[in-house]
Amino acid sequence: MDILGKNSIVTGGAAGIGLALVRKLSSNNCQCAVLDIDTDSLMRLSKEIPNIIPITCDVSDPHAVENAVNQAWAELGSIDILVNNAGIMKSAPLVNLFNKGANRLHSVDLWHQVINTNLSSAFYLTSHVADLMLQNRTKGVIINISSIAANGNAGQTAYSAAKAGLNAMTKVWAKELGRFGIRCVAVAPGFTDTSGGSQALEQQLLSQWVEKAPLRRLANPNEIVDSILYAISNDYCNATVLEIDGGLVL
Amino acid sequence: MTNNLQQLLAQIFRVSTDSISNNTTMDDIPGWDSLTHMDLIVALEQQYNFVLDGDEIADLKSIQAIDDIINKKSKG
Repeated sequence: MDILGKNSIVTGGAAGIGLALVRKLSSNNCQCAVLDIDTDSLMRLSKEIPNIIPITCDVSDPHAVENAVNQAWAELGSIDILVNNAGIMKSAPLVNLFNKGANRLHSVDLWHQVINTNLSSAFYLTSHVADLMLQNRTKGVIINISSIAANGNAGQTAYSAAKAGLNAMTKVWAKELGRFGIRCVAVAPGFTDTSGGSQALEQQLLSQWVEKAPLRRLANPNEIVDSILYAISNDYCNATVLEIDGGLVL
Repeated sequence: MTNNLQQLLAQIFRVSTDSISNNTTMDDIPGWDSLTHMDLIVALEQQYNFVLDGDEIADLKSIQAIDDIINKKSKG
C-alpha cells in the first residue's frame, strides 16, 4: 500500500514512536487522525502539523474509542491504516519481597490498567475500524505495536502479557480479515529511546539493557517507524511479528 | 560482616566489594531491586542454611540488617 493520499488512525500519536510515525505519515501526505489521552500534547502537535485530526481519547474506554473511531471516519471519509500504538509501560514483580502481607502481591489495579491500555485498547479500536472497513469494502492494514517484552520480561508480568496478546491478536485478525484484503502485522521494538521508556525504566536498568544489546544502544524511534512503513507498504506482509530489537535477547 | 558475606553480596548486586559496608543500604546500590532481592534471599538461605519468613525478608534493606539476621539465625 502506498501511503500517499491514504487515511490513518494512530493511537498514542502525541509522543514517542507514535509521534515520529505521525510526522512521517503526514510528511508523505497521509492524513492522520491522532488519538491520545494527552490533550496538551495533541494541541502542540496540531500547531506543528495543522492538517492532523487531533482526538482526545482514553483508548482503554470502549465507548470513548467508538466515538473517536466514528469521528475519525466521518472527518476522513475512510480509514486505510490503523496503528495501535498507544500503551503504558509499568513494571512490578509478581511477588514483591520488599513488602509485607498482602502488599507483596502484584497490584490487581495495575494489572488491569496495563492490560486495558495496551491490549484491550487494540481490541476496541480494531473491532470498530475493521467493521467500518468491511461494511464499506475498504482494503487496509492494521499495525499493532508490540514489544520485545512479549517474550517475557522479568518484572513486567502485565506488560509482557499484553504484548504477547497483541502478537496473538495480530495473527487471528490477519487470518480473519485477509480474505477482505485487510492485512494485520505486529512490529515489536526492543528498548527504544523515548520519553515513555525513560520514565518507566530507571536509567540504571536502561544502561544494563544497552550493555546487553549487540548494537550497544537503544533504538531510535525513526528506526521503528521505518519498520511500520515497511509493514504498511509491503502488501504481502501479513500475520507476522517484525522484531526490531537490534538483536537483543531477553 | 565477614569477608565471605561481603563477597557474596558484591556478586549478587554486581558491585565491587569496596561498595559493601555495614553502612550500605539498598538506596546506595542501584542494582538492588525487587528481582535482585529475590537472588539475595535465595543466596542467603543456601549459604547460611536457614529460612526467612516474609517479614524478615521485607526488613532486609541494609547490609547491617543482613548481617544482623545472619547472626540471629546462626545463634537460633
